Amino acid sequence: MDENQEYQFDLEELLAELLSDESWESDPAFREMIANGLKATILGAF
Amino acid sequence: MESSENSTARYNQRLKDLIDATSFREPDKVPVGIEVINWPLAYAGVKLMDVVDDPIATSKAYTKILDDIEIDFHTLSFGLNHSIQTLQALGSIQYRLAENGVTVEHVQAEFSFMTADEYADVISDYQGFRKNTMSQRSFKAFQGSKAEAYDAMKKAALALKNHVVTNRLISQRVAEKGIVPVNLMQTNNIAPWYYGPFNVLFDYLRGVKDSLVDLRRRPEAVKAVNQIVESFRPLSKVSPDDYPAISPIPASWTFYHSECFLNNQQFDELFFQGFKKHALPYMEKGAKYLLKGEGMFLNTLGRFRELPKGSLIIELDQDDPFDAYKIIGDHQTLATGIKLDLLRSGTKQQCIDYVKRCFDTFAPGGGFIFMPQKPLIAPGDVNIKNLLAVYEFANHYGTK
Repeated sequence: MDENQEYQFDLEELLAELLSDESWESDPAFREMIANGLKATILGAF
Repeated sequence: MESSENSTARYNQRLKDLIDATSFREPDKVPVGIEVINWPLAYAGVKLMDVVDDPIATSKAYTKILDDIEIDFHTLSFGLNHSIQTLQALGSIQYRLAENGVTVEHVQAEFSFMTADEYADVISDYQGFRKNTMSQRSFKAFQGSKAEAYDAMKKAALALKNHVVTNRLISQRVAEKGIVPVNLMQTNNIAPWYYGPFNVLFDYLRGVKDSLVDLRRRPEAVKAVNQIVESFRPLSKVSPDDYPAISPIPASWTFYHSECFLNNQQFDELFFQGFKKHALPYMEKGAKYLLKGEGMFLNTLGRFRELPKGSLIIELDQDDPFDAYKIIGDHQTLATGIKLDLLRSGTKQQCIDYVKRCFDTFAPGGGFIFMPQKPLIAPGDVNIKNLLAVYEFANHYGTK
């Protein structure tokens, strides 16, 4: 992406990256649980 | 530490008492419970940020209250509700740690909700509007570059891991004590929860004041959004035909947010008709729902005669429980027993006299479980000496 181009925020894209990133959690099931929890924190639970 | 046999035996007895009481059979003991958010930390004399990095220290402080009062059940979840460090990592604009160092505050007044002009955007792309437009407004971390946003997401995820571990430790202690959760927030085995669709506008998109104004000025736009919200309601994980998979308690749940501000017609249209359609097929198969009430809502209680007897556990908030009892107390269970202002400011004898009157009025024939009429959330919510005396009395007086 051109660094000068304004970033078009995309929550799903960030969550997908987080889900495949082993650097913060090696267990894929726990990673998915935390990513889902983070999504609920950001969007609200309902 | 309690033995697992003792924990299981106590859990089973308490579960039986809860099912009996909420099914209008007199239990061996009137169940005594509590609803708390971060208050147990204040009870233990700690501030959230002093312990939050250490799940063991946090859970130990949080569960100290369980060593000092006997509790048969809790409602909602017993544990930290929000991960303050997750919210801070994301730069939350709506949530912050209160000055008391314990409570996580929700501050709608400082947030820029959607404008009336944006109803068209919500209606044309509801999910996109919530995921991107509203998320970006809600968190400072999403207002810069992608690298900054991702870095914040990782920090937030690490903080959330810590939070989850802390709440697991708290749950373990609750289980060791044989305490029954009256409702479960998320599970595959209970009837599905219900959240009134108008609350999406009220809580997330338009805010309290403007959403209520829109009911008068933009009723068609509100109706259109409610229909879209309904269309995105998650599919139930268990069908009414397959219910009950397990015991009716832990129960499913619903709650009032906007509902206490609605007139009777609005309440029927925006909550009751949908709730009845959603919950009745499960209730007819024996399911129970916890209604977590907020505000004053005596005018809504009569509707619940249309639902099966004993299908609802109504957690009162600001209303007089004796008035509520006259309206619905012979048909649905009341979760009540003492108001926080009395626990905070009354004498010990005034508190006990009030609790005794509640037991004497509500307990005969079942349909009553005891708990304070609001969640404990902040230091100073109650006078601790009164609290300890009331729980000692309630546990003794309600036992056959």
